[in-house]
Amino acid sequence: MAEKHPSELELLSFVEEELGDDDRREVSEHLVACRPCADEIRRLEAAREALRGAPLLELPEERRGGILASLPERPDPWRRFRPVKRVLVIAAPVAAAAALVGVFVIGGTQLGSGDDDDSEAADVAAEESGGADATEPLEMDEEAAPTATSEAASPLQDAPAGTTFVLFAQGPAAEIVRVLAAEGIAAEVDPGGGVVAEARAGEVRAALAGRASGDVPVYVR
Amino acid sequence: MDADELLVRRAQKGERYAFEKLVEAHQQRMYTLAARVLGSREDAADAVQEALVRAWLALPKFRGEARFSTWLYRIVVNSAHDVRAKRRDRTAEEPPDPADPRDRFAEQELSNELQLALNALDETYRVAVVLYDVLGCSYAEIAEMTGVPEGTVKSRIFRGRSELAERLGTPEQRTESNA
Repeated sequence: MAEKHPSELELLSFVEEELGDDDRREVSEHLVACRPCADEIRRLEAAREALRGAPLLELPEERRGGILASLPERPDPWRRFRPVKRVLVIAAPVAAAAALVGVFVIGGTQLGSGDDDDSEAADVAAEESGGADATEPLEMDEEAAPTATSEAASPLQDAPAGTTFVLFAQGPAAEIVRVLAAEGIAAEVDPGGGVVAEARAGEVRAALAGRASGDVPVYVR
Repeated sequence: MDADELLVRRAQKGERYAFEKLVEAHQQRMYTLAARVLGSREDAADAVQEALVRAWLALPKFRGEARFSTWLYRIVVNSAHDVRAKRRDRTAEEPPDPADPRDRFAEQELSNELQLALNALDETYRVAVVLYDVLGCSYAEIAEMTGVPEGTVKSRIFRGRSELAERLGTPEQRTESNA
């Protein structure tokens, strides 16, 4: 037995206790007679011990807060929303936002099933080529690119002027207004069925953090 | 059910709070992965930032075929690779002043013996042993993250560990290195 050395994978599997009884016994007998393989086993175990003894490291708090604050806006709420009816939406620039950051898209193009999207593997592969550009404030892929008229979903045509979408929350809308009021945020039900709050987006997110996602759009003015 | 699943669904709809909870749950492992692969706390924080932005933007297309953590760590590995490449370019353009061998990132380096030994490994070996031994990922998960067969993953772990042990020396020499 000592003449035929176990393979690298067999030695690793021996250390990791992944071999069946017969294979384990065979490797074990070999190690008694073979110094180089026994040394290899010792190295594998020593490195494992050193690595597993290394502590997990903590991302500095100030960096974590900065990272979360710097996440770009993402138009996916529009894209993921599944329509109950199909309507014509006019993608319009919002004057103040446009002046500051360029075109702000109202509306989206969730057409049919989102399950027809590219596969996850392709998405992750795209990461390798920098597919998601960290510097881009909006994810302007072909599907979501602004257009003067686009057939799209939703109560978005009812988006109140001068408001910014924050999130979709579970209704009814009046209850969302009450939840916000309990947090000291003035809000009202918009004729379009959404909720408009007089607060900053972060405050609204925090106030509704415990609430499930739903189909009532919540905006801030 | 995966504990992340509900949070992922909410974050996919644009709920930042849910994404923040996911970040909270995974930041330590993401940062450890990046730091052990890059050997620098500053670069690791940059890689985590890059990874989180990519993950946030790509999340609507995450379909749950892999565990969320597997998907996330793959993005971290890719981001760490990109940060390393950028740093290499930067170093090439601005060689450190020979009168000051400690560059401005020196104090951020993870300079214990284990990290120095890790730094000396081939990057593919380093990624494999960190994912397997430090984060406890399975062979299958590492294969998925790194895009190679499981047999290759095992071979990288074997060689990574073997080389690492050679560089670390005896257990007695290592006792002060696990910090």
